[in-house]
Amino acid sequence: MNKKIIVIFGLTVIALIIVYLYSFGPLAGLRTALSINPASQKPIIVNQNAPVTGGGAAATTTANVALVQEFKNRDMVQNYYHVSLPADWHATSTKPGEYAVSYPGGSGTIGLIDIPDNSTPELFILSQQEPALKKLPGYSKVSYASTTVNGNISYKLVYDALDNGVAMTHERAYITGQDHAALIDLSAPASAWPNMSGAIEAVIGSFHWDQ
Amino acid sequence: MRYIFYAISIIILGFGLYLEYIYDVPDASVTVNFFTGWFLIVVGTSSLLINLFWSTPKRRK
Repeated sequence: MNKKIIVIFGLTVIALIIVYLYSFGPLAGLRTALSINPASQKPIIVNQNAPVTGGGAAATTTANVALVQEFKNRDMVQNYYHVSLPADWHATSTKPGEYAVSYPGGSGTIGLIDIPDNSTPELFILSQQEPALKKLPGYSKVSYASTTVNGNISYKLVYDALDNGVAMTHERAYITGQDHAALIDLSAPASAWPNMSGAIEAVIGSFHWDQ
Repeated sequence: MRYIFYAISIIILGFGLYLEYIYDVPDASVTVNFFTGWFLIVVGTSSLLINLFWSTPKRRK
């Protein structure tokens, strides 16, 4: 057999082993690791007095919003985003492109959602997401509105539901993007919602696609 | 016969590139798509190269 063929065959086997290691083996972590921008880990004061874009009047209370993490989701640059969280919120990465956040009085997730190509965000929310939410105990829709978050069309769904017998208010913000949409799902006890909604609106309002 | 192998190699390579760069991957299938896409790219490229460098022995008259 030709020597060149043997070399090509050997290189192919090596390349396939590397592909396997990057897909399922020990190197898979390198491919999917969240990359945190060191510069953005410094707790910075965004704005002490001015309202945060996308927040309502209550968002003026977000004095200590700290930019903490920047996602580098998967290997698709069109899904990179960053979001600001208050200093007393804690975020942990659950999977590429998604954070689980917890904060005094509540918890939630910030991540990406794949809206099928044959649907629109609004149709997807009303025909697939909301019917699933309606099955939650004590579900009651508070509001649903179309708005923009930093220039991106978004849809905000606020609803009440019972979580282990506790009345919780949830806010889900679907923010459209180039490839995926972002889904910010934050909740707080219904009794604490008036105090928490300002911070939650500020976090949603701080969302930016990195493009 | 050789042209059939070329065509099959190009189809494999093209499908790998499609999966890797064009296909809208559902979140749950990202890893499998990554593996399949690159697997097809590697196999398609190497089979193209093997076709190019394959030398058939010349018959003596």
